[in-house]
Amino acid sequence: MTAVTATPATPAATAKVPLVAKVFSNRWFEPTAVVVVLAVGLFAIPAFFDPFWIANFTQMGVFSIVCASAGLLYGRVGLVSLGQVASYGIGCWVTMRLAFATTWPFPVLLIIGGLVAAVIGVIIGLPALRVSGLYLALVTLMLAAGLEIVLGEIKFPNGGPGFKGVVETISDIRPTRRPSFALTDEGYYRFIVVGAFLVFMLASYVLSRKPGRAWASIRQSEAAALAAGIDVTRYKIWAFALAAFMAGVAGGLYAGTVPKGMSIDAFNRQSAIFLIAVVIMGGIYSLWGGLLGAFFATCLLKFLTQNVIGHQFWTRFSLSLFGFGLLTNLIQSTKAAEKKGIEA
Amino acid sequence: MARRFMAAAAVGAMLLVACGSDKKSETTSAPATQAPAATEAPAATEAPAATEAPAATEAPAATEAPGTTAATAGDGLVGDTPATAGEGCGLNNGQKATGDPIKLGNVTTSVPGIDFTTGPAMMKAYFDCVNDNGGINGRPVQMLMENDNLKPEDAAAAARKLIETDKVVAMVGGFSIIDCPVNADYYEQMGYYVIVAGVPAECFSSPNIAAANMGPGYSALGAAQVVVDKGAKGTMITMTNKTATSDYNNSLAGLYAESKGLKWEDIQIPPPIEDANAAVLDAVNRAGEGGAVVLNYTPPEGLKILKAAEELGLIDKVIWGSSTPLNDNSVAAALGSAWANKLNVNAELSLLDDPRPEMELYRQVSKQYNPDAPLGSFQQMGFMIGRIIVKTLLDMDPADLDDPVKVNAAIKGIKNFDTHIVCKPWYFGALPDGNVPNNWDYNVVPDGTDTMVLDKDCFPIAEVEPILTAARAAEKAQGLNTP
Amino acid sequence: MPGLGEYWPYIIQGLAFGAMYAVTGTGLVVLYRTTGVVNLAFGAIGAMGAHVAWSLLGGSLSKPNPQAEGWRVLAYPMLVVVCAALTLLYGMWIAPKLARRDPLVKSLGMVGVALFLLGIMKERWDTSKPRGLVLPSKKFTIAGGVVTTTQLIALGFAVLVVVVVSLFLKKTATGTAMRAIANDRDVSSLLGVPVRRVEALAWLGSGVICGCVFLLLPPLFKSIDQGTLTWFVVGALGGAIVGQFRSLPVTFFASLFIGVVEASLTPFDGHLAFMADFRKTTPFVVSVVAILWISRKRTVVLAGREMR
Repeated sequence: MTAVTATPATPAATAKVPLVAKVFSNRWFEPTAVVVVLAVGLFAIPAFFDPFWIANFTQMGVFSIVCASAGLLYGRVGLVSLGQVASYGIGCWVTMRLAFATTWPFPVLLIIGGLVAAVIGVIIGLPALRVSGLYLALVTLMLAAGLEIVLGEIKFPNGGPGFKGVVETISDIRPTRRPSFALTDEGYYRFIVVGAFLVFMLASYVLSRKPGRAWASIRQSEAAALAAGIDVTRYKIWAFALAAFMAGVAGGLYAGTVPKGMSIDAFNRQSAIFLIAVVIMGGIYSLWGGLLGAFFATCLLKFLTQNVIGHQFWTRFSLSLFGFGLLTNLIQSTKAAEKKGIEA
Repeated sequence: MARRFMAAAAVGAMLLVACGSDKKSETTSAPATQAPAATEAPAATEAPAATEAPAATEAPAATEAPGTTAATAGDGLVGDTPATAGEGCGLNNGQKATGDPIKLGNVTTSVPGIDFTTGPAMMKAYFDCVNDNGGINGRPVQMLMENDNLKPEDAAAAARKLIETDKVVAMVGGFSIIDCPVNADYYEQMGYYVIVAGVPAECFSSPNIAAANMGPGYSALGAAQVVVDKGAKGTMITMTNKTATSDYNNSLAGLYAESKGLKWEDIQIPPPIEDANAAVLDAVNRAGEGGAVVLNYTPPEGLKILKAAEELGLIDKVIWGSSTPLNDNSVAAALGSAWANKLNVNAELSLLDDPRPEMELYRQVSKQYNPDAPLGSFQQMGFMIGRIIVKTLLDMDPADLDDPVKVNAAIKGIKNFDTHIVCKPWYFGALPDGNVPNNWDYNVVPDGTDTMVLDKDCFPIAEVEPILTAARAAEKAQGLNTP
Repeated sequence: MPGLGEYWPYIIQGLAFGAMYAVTGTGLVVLYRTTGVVNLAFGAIGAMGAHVAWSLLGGSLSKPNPQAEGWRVLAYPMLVVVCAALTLLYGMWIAPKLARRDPLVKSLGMVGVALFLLGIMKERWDTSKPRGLVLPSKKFTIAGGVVTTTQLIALGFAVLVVVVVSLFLKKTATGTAMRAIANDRDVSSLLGVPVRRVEALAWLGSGVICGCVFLLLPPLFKSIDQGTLTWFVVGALGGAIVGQFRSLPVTFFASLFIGVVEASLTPFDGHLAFMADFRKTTPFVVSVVAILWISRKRTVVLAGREMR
């Protein structure tokens, strides 16, 4: 990209570069990987797995968007938000309410859910912009905990009238509708794969443009970014908005996986903390981390539960697994950074 | 690199810990329990299980004339005689069942504050006894239980796994808060007739689901009837956990109270309760002196409220009632002397020390196959469902036992199953508006030491809404629960 | 809505919970200022101690195991010991591995601990049984409302802790050392402050405070609930946030305020019924409002520590 010629190779650099590293750093690697994963998701998985596993992969697809949104904020902008489950919940609620109240196409509902989550995320994020690091994490945790209570109080729409959309009598309960082209479980799974793909592409696009570069310099050093003339506040708002939008869309997708009997468990305090653990384990520096983190939280966990010793044991002990994983991950990354001699 | 190490270390650590803790089989549901509070089996002498000569008093498998409606071929079980002394489990022949297992599935809820696995655990205990006594014509019964973690997506996935992957022939013995709403349509679609212990309204409004119990809605209604009977005036307060479906829990009790001229207010608190003192004080204040407070909780949560009421000296301010989960001797023991005769608990099932043979069998099986569990209503329900399905399977043609269509047809046709565990003979019904097969109940009170004792014998639940009214009409017309 | 006289019991209840928030907040603030770690595992460690104590008591809510009479004496101190030991263990063994990271990462480490312990508790102690920890308690009536000794102990304990800790930090050598380390760890070390020893003391102190809080919480909650106890720390953060993780008196009063408001909203009905419904959001609303106010003119850094 630059006109400067490469510096003369040092003896060390002419040593053989391992093939793996060559492959990974090839600029066609990532796009190819995306296509492969998309193909596997759309065609291979429905062909080889039974409905139980398709349901798990469906959850993985939805959750990967939430994980990616949290990872994006942390890894690319340096902002730890423990409140992504709040955006997730808002998007879910809005999509459900509109699904009953209107006949608009489902994808439109998702976008609206995402936008509402983004707006609320920004409004709530504005005061949070003035606090940094740990304080931000704590405040977003408080916001998520507060929203958990609000959602628990107003409950989820199930076909009733009014703002809350909750029915009076049991016989009036209706299921949340799905897109007309994705009514079956398998169809909806494919819809989610495509949806996740689109959201990831959106994030990737934004990251490659000006906001992405601004975020990178904010992450390096806020003071330096300010000095370089970057409007730090505006770009932080953009980051919150994008992350909230992503999580909001994920929430809408989640609503379709649970047509009846939605509960707040996916949006509570424990989920907020579980999310950050899983996101860190999956990796925050790349959007792929979101996919990996979601894999840990859904499919890997279910696999352990079904196939490894002690059925119920894993369901209960899973939290310990992730707690241990998180700690190990943090310690490992500290060691790695220290080895490289850089300030982690 | 780091991630791989971490993953390996994590798995290694988990294996280490897993080896240290109690081994659990894949299908067992019994959670790791501490030695329970002393809830002794009552004085009735216990005959040893499973070694008596078979009493052979059961009606033969050939169907009896069903009454006014013509039974068509494949209707399944129609009519049965109640358990008699010495009947034992299943075939009661002391031989271990060794054939291909008959797989039965269920979806059950187990999360902090709400753990229902005690019910299926007792059902499994009964299956173990049956499997030690000849099984279903030599084939063992296997229970596959899935925890829905109170997550709707997990409940949906669990039902699909059991029916489509594990290929269970029937879904019986589920104790879940969300299985019915999440999966009722799916069960209808797959043609499964599901026997549950029901909690939310959808367990009583779907033709494909029938419950052993009457659920919190009707149970609280029964409690409301009793407190009004005992002179509650002014206002009735109901309390329950706030969940997605909790509006149903006390709605019927509320309708009844209002029909009797009382004011009604429903207090729903997101679980688990953190400020029991404030909550109960508020409830009693709102009920007013001489009013009523009806609780709709499981023991861990309900005890918080009751203990707080005792601490604050509120016991005598109102008339107290509760739905059935508090009908548990460990609750009586925890309440102690302060609450003697002061808490009216609706009992959907017979008393734990009921001397009749069916209950005697329950106590024996519990002692032998589920010794860590106290006697309690959830366990009774699990046992009862186990009895119902085993009898149903025993009366089927063995060749049909692997065909879900045939098995579910048999379940659908269950009528007049007299267990003595519920007031009237049990039936499935498959009524278009929903099934309420258990709709007469008792009232019990704590005796001040450690037992719940009978206060009022079987009485009918009031008809305040259309589903029960329709069920009673169908019972009359089709002879569904005539002993 | 009750008259003013009937409000009394709610206020007492609120003060008791607020006191627990206050003590937790104090523990969090002191540990943070010395080590840079926000102990998000405070609740999980405390819950673990409570479960161990319950098991030692014979494991029964209704009838204490008669054989356990002798153990009962040990159970309550064991609670504190377990909490102190777990906290100290983390502080001495794992915390140093993350010592060079920023406070956010160090606090995320505590999140890992919280999840780890929560999983163990879920596996070891099933949730179908009611569990409780009861302190010997008398009740008496003040101004028409019933008050229990447990509530009074909670309140008194909170006052004691705040006073003692404040005095400790100001007047003793170790306390001064803690404040020095909080100010600047590296310089303090250069000046000869025994940093590791003082940090160990801070961890130990935090653990002991944790144990004491969780002796009182189960009687107030009327149960031992894994989830409730573990995530209690999230609500308790409210007071600490208002105090900006710096001022103990502000943390104390903010926590009491939060507790009282939360409890006092319970009997609201009619048009204001929604306030009763949403009363559990009090810690979160208060802390967010406080942040809005504090940060209206400037960027906030947490207790003087520079953060990325």
